[in-house]
Amino acid sequence: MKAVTEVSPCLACSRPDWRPKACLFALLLMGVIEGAGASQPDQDLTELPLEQLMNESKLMDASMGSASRFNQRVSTIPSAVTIVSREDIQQYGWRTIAEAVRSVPGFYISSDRSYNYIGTRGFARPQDFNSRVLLLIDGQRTNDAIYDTAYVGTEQLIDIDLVERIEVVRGPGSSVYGGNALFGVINIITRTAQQIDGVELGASYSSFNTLDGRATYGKRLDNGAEVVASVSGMDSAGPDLYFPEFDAPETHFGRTSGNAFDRNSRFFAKLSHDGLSLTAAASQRQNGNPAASYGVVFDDPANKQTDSQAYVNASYTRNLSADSEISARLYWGEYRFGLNAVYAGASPSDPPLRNRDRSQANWWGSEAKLVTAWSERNKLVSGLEYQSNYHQKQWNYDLNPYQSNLDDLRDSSRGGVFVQNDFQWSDSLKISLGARYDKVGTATGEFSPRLGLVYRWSEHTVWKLLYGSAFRPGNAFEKFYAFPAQQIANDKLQPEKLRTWEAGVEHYLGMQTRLAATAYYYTMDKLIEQVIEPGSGLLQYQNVGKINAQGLELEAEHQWINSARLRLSLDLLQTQNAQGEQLSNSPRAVGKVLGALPLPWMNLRLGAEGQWLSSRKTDAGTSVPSYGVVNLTLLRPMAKDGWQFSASLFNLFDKKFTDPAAPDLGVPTRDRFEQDGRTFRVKAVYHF
Amino acid sequence: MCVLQLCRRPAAARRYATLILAVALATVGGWLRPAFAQSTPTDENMLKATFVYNFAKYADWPDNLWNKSPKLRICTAGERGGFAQAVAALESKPAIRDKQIEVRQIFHPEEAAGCLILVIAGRTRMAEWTRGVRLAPVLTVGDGEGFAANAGLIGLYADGDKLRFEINQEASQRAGLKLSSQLLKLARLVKDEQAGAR
Repeated sequence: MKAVTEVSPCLACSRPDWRPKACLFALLLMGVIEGAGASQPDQDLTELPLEQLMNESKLMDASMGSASRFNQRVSTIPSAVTIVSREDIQQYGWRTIAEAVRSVPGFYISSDRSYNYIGTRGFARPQDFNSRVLLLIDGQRTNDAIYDTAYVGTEQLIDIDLVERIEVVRGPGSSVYGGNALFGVINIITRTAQQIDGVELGASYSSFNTLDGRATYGKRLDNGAEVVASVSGMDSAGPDLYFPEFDAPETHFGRTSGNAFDRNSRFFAKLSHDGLSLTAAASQRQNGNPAASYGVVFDDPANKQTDSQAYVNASYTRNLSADSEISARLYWGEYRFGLNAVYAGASPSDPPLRNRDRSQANWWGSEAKLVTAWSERNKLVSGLEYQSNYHQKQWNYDLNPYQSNLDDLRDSSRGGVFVQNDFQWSDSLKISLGARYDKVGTATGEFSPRLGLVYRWSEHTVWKLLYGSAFRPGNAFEKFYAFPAQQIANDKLQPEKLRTWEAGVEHYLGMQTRLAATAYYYTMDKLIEQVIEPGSGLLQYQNVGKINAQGLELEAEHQWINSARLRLSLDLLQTQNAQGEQLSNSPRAVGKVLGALPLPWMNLRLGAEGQWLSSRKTDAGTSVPSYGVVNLTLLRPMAKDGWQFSASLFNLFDKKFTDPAAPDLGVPTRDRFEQDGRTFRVKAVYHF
Repeated sequence: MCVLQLCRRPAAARRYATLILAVALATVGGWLRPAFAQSTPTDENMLKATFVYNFAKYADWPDNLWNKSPKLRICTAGERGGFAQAVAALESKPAIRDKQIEVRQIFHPEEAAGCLILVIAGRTRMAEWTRGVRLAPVLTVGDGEGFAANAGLIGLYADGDKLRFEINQEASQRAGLKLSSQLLKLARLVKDEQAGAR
C-alpha cells in the first residue's frame, strides 16, 4: 500500500518539522511510564476497598451493547470497537464528545471555529455536517431531522461530566441502526443515579475567560427507583483571532475580537424504576461566527448562531425469560437552528443587510426490540422502528427591508425492520448474519446486510472478518434548501451507499495488554456532495461519482498493575476519488498516544495525550501541513473528602496548526482555519 | 515551557530542556517505584476472585452456622477454568473475621453443606446449581449471564470496561443471609425470573 511506504517505522521522527518534540515527548512518556510500571509490587489486592476495585480496574475485554444492540464482549464483536470511559475523560481532560472521540483510532476532528466535524477513516467531506456518523445517547438516536448532524462540540446535548462511557463502533452500522450509520456509531452512556449517588457541584475556569458550572443530583431510592437531574452552563469570551484572508485595512487587518464567544446551557433528567425509564434532555448553544463564514461582515458580533436540541423518551425493558429480553421506546425530539447574519450592502453607501437563516424539526418515533438466545448456540436480535418527522421547516429572510428568500415546510418518515442472528458454529467460530430493510419517505427501500465472522484462534487471539453495507438518505437541507442566486434544491437526491470489508485481529496478553489491527476497504457509491450545477451555475447537492479507500488501524494498549496505562495507535490509509486522487481533508497517517500515570504524591495522576496528523489536501488544491499536539492533565481523582481537582494544558508546545476549510463562496480565498495554541483549564468537583 | 524562561531562547535550548525534563521525570519515576503503593488487579479472573473475597466481609450468615464453622469455606463449582483457579488462590489470603479461608471443589449441590460461599463459574449448569442450593444458607456467587436472576445471590458482570455485580435480595432472604447495606449500595438489584427455555 502506498501509504505505508511513505511512513517510516518511527513515524513521528520522520517529519523534520515535528521530529524533536514528538521524539522527546515519546521518550518522556515511555520513560516515565516504563519507570513507574517496571516493577509490580507484590501487594495484597484483597486489602483494597471494594468500591475502589470497582472503579479503578479496567477490563481489557470490555462489554458493550452498541455494535449489535445487545451486550457482548469486545472479543466477540466482529467490528472494531473502542470504549472511552469516564476515567479516560477525567484523566485526559476532555471537554467535549469531539475531544473524547478524537482519541479513538480511525477518528479525527476538524473545526471551522463554529462547529467540530468528525472525520473517519480518511473521510471528511466539505459540507458534511457529521451526517455519516450516528450519535446515540443511551441508545436514543440524536442526529437531527434537518441536517442529520451528530452534534459533538459545545452544542452537544449531554454535559461530558454526565457521561459514564462512550461506546464507539467503527465501520458500518446500518444493518441494525438504519440510515447515517455509515462510518461509525457513537453511543453515549449516561451515568446512573447509583453512580452519581448524591449531589455533585462542578466548576471550571479556562482560557479565554471561560467559566463552566454544573449541578447534578442522583439517587437510588429505597424502593429501587432511580432519579438523575442535572443542569449546567458555560460562558466563554473566546480568543482574539487573526484571519489572513481578511488582512486588509477595511477589515481590521484580519483581526477580530469578541466574536468567538460560546455559551451553552444544558438540562438532563432521568427517572427509572423496574425496567421503565423516562428521560428528558435539552440544550442550547449560542456562538459567534468569528471566521465570517457565508460571507458575512467580518468582525461584527451581530453574527451568531444558535443550536437548540431537546428530546424526551420513555423506554421499557423486560426479561421474558432467562434467555429473552424485550424492550420498547417511544420518543419525541426537536432541533432548532438560527443564524443571524449581517451582509454588506449592495454599495458602500447602503446599510448592511440583516439576514436570518432558520430551521426547525420536530419528530416522534417508536421502536421495539427482542433479544433472545433461542438455542444453546444461537442468539437473535430483531426489531422494528418508525419515526415521523412531522415538522421540517427551513426558512430564510432579510430584515431590512423584509424579504423572504426561502420558506420550505416538509414532513417525512422513516421506518425499518432488522434481524440479526449470531450462530456459534463451533467453540471457536461465531457467524453473525444480519440485515435491515429501511424505507425512507417515498424512496425505494434500502437493504443493508452485514456478515461477521469471529474466530477464536487461541485463548489470546481472535480473528474478525466483516462485510457490511450502509446508507444515508439525502437530508432535508440537502434536498430542499434553496437560496436565490446561490443554491438550488434537489428533491431527486438518492441515498448514498457504503460497502465496507474489514479484517481484524486482536491479541490479549495476560489480560493486561491488548494488541489490535484492522485492515479495511470501503467503497462509496452515489456520494452526496455539493457541486456547481452546470445549467444554472448555482450550488446543488448531487449524487456524484464514487470514492473508495483502504487503510490499516494498529493499536496497542497496556495497563500496569499500579494502574498506569498506555495506548498507542496508528492509522494508515489511502483514499481515492473518481479521478484516483487522495480526498481533501484526508490524512494518510494519524498517530495517537494516551498515557496515564499515578504519581506518588497525594494520589495525583498525570495524563498525557498526543495526536499527530499527516498533511491534508484542501479543496483549493493546496495542503495543510502535518501537525502534532500534546495535552497534559494532572488529576486528583475524587477522594473521601468529596473533592476532585484537575489542571490541564492543551497544546502544550503551542503548536500552530490548521484544518482544511470547506469551500465557502462568501470567502473564496480561504483554504484553512488556524486552531488554538496553548490553552489551560482548571476544574474542581465537589460531591456530597 | 515558559516557566523555565526558555520561550525566547532558540529552539535547540527548548529541545534540550524537554530532554532534561524527560530524563528527570523518568529517573524520578523509576526511583519512586516503591511508592506506587495503590495497585489495581488487571487479570479479570483475579479481579473476580478479589470481589468474592470482599463479599465475604459484607455478608452475615446465621449465627449457628457461622459459629460451628471452623474456617470460612469457599466452594467452587461449575466450569473449570481461570475463575475457579483464582478463587482457589484465596486460601493464602488473610483471615476474615478470625476465620481462615479454605477452598474446596465440589461436584454436586448436595456437597454444598458446610460451604459458606459457593462460587459457580460460567453458564453451563448454572441454573441447576443455583436451584439445587436455593434454600441453603450459602452465599452463591457466579459469573454466568443472568446468574442473580436465576436464583443466584450475587452475579458478576461486565459493564463497559468495569466489573460490577448484581444482587438478588429475594435469593438472600431465602438463604437466610444478610448482606450489608454498603454492599447493596454498590450493586445493581435484580429479581427472580422464571426459569428459561432451557
